[in-house]
Amino acid sequence: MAGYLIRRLATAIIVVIGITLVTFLMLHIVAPEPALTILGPKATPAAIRAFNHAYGYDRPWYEQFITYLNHLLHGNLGDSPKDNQTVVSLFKEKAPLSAFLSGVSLLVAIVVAIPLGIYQAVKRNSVGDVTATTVAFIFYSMPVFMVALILIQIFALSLGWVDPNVSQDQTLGGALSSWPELVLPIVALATTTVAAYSRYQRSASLDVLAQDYIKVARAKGLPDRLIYTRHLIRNASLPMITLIGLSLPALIAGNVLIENAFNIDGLGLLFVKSLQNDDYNVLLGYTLLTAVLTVIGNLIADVALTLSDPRIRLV
Amino acid sequence: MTTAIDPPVPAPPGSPGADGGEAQGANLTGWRLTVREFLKNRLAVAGVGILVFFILFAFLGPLVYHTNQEATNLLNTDAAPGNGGGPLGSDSNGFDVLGRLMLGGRTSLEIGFLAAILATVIGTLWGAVAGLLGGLIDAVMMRVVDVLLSIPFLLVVLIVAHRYGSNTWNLSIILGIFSWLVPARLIRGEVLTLRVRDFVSAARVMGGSRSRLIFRHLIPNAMGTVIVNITFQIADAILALAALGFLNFGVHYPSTDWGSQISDAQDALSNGYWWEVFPVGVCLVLVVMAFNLIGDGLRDAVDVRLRKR
Amino acid sequence: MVDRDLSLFRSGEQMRSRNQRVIGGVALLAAGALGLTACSGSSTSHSKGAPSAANAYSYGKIPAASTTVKSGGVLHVAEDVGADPNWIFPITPAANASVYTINQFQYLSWRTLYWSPKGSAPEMDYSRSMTDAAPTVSSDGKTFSIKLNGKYSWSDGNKVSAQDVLLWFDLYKAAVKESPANASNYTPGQFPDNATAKVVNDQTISFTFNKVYNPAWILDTQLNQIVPLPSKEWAKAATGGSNLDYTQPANAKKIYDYLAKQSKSLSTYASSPLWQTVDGAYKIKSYNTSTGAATFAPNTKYSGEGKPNFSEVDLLSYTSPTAEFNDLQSGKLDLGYVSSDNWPQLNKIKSEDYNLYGLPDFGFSFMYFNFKDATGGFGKAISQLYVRQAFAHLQDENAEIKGAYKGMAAPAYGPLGVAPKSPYTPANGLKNPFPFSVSAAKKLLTDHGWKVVPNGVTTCQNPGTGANQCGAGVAKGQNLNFKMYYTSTPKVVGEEVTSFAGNLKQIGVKINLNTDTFNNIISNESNPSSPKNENAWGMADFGGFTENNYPSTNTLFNTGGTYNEGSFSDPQLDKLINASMLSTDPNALKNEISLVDADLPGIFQPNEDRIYAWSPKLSGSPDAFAALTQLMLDPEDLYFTK
Repeated sequence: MAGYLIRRLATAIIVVIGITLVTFLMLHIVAPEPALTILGPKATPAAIRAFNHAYGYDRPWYEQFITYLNHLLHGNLGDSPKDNQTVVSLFKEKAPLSAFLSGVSLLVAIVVAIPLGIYQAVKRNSVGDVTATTVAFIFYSMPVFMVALILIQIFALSLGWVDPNVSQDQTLGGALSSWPELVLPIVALATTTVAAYSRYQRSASLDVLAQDYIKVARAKGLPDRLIYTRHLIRNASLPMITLIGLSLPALIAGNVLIENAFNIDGLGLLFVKSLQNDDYNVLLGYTLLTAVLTVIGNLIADVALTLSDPRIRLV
Repeated sequence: MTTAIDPPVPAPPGSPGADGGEAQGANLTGWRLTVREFLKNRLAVAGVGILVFFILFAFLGPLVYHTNQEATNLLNTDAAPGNGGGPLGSDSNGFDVLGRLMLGGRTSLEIGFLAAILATVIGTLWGAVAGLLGGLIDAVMMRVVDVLLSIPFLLVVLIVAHRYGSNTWNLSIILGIFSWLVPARLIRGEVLTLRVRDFVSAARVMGGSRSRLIFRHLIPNAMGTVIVNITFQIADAILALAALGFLNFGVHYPSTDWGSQISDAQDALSNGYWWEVFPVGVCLVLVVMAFNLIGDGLRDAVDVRLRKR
Repeated sequence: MVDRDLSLFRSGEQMRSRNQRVIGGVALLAAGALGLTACSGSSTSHSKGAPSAANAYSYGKIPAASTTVKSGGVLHVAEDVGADPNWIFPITPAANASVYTINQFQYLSWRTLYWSPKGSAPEMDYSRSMTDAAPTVSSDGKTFSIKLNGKYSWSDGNKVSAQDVLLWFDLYKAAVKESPANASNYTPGQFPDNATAKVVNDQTISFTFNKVYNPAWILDTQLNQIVPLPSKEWAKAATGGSNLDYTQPANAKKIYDYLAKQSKSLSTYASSPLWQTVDGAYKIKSYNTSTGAATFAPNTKYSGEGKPNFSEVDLLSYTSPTAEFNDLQSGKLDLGYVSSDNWPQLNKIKSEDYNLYGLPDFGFSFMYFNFKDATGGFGKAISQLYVRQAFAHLQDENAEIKGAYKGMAAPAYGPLGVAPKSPYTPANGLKNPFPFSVSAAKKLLTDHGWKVVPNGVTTCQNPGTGANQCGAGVAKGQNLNFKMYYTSTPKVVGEEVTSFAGNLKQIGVKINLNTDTFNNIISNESNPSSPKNENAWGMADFGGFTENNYPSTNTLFNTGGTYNEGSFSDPQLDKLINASMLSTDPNALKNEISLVDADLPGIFQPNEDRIYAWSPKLSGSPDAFAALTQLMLDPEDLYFTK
């Protein structure tokens, strides 16, 4: 077990270094000269030279990469000249709101999807199952921003229950103080996630229901409720652990879109803004951050699965 | 080794049944079986119907319903349906929305297909080579896939599209180049299971070259997986394109795509111009749903073929 | 929507920032190819000081100032979306400079020596300045003496003095010497490089320039940059350090470095005692490092024009204009702009008795040609004045104003539009010289040897340089098709450009349209910045430029100018541009602008109204509301009514 964990961790570290290199190179090719876009068209060649020198953009890419890695190890993601702040402090300011959105919607999704999937499997082909499957299928085919737009139209514009924009006090505390406006974005994010999860949970539960031990339990005359709580939920929820770990990138992408749809000043909005500004370090930092989160998500999923299911022995 | 960390979307290919070792002839009946099985699936057939409708709508529609999608009409902007605008009104440039839907649909479908095919070609070759060569090369190639899979797709595509996007070809290439990873994994998995089968060994014994082995034997046999995957890839590419368009990084005038058409959706909605948002949304969802239905149907059908073999 | 959050970077507001001109003009011999169509020289009468509420092209109206002044209350104002201020020290680096950071954040605390505009009029407002008149010029025309009027003093009680002006000048010099990017307004060869300063007495300072310039140019482009700094408090190089002699360049550098460093520390904006020494009506009270939102407390020692009536001024930050508009509607905001995105909903605000006023800010937008584009010989074709005239005839400004701007814009036929009014606007800038007419465009082309194929491909059939031929460098069979880049946001740019493209099609010219971001266009579709792209584009549109009170097109349209993106070159114009800067002829600038209007280095577009809405409770000097359209925020002239 320990051997497996170590090897798994080593792979993850190699992957993270690979990610850093690929992202760095890609941005280097795509946005080779941030000076011009940051300083604007008024920038004189001398100003551009000074800027490039100050930020090290005049050195060969591998030197820049090594410097970047070195800074990275010290928790330094560089500066955002446009925002007059370090990338780390920008992230610190914007992350809580984004994390809150992702976290709560993930939680909501899990709380809804697991019972829903199990219910569908147990009541297979019932009206409820068919309805849920159909609805899930529609949402599964719907981009998250479309869900957001529908919610905005119905609840914000037609019914006027909430404001279509999240409170513009963009700290987490400020946003929470007018929490009703956070409901729509969370529902939008959760809906698409529920659609994917419940499909998965349903088929996993169906697999479990077909297993021998359930049949045995049934034959022994165990009541259904006990069968479900003792065997089905535990066993059918195992695959969800993997799924949750793996759905991090989708959640982050969802954040980018949802934060734009609802004008939430989180990391996703920051990313798109920085894209417009060619704010090199923010782009690099955010891509890296999400990539590392993804790797961690995978790692957790793998390890959790291994730990929780003694049948899985990968080594 | 890592555990399988394929995204949940394309379900893992059905585990191949007992090794039958059939050659081409048996495959033919296998395909026929697949088609028959597929046709029995009403939802999948409905998906095909929706898709055919949208293909006709996007490619032949403009021949029937003539609109000017190049010259703006600034004196008739944001007109409500039937109220000076066309049946679906006009947008902020004064373009007829129904005609715009056709134009945008065409681009979205084209990019979806092109990107999916590109992704599948790259992915198939990569996966097949890795699976066949095995050993260190396989490990290295699959680590590359691991690395790239961990980089968030949307972010990367946004970064590149921001610089190089804005027309059909570039966006197809960008979307294709960054989505070959899942097919690569699937094909590698498929190849690994096929590799041990008799006919591949036989071909090897008979001195078949590697490339011949790949193109004549392995790829045709992995075709089922590939085709199922392609339909999901198209759906994903269309969704990704819609996201790019929504964030204003889609294709641009004189072309348009469905995502770009709703890039100002929130303002349009608060100004009450629902017809600029929801018709596009419905088209988008229907087409993506059609591909998902077809994909599900195909997967089931291919599974059946494998099971019955 | 995301793009809405980026106003600063997309539509040219950054290019449209004030006081930004560069010397690049080179005197050349007149070639006489293009006629000089300047008006006779009779200067148009200019209604001095009339509040712009009377302006013919304005939207809405400004009510008369209420006489029931209620002191106190918190004024809630919206910051411009995407332009959150993040630099407090009044020498602003290029990377952090925006007209909003400077005008609506720094100026609240540190005022300029010369205050402009006057209401919405692009001229000096001496009633709000620290001096009562234009500087006196020495007999050799090189030395300009400024006498302060003693009206302004620092919050520590000291009068604003000539030393404070000198501190600014010395720090400015130190800043740009360190890096030209350290000051957004800096142009190499100009202020401060072209002048030396001398303190004459406590209230008088003189600047001696290296040669004779047009006095209006000196005042409106050079001296107008001055922001006196508190020399008794800021002339140090460390927190709690002693005052240094800043006339020593080495000391000035240390002081500059210290202050710039403090300005990088966003979290100490409200706590640092430095930023509490102000001569403006308000001083910073809190600052949100995440959003750029800030609150300001009144400067109780304020001695200048107006009065800090509010107990607090809150600058609120927004991520989208629509979010801001919602807050205006719900009454959370007392004062805010209304973006064109929300114009269809203006009635909602009107029904709540909010006041609305709009006028274009002083500047211009244009689609510019690339005269070097060798692809298909487009550059050569567009070098022919008649081709540009034909193109100009195909821009339907009236339809654009009516459709794209819903009527809320003023036409412009050159760098000076019809509003706001400038004393330099020439006669041909007031009436469209090239009204929309497909037939006129077609005639211009057919008269010069082109075969016009509507909706097809128009080609040159009769090459040569004769009067009825295509012109120098245009090849037989060549077409006029080209590639154009424009910013995808704001939407109106796309609407204007696509409308133009549709019109060009009617004379057989096909535009291959591409969108890009503001930043990419100003760097890529610019021959001075990216000579390698010379042949990659035929026209481009990123927005335009905001102008200062002396709106010479120096650096924009002179041969080799820094922002002469499309390499336009007309020796006659070069001569006039040079005269605007170096001659003392008061009509020089008007002559220059008149030739630009006729020369068509680009196609000038309507100027969008900057519309502001304010609560019925809010009142004050009409000039202060008019100045909002010029992106100035003067809370000392505003108050709540009872």
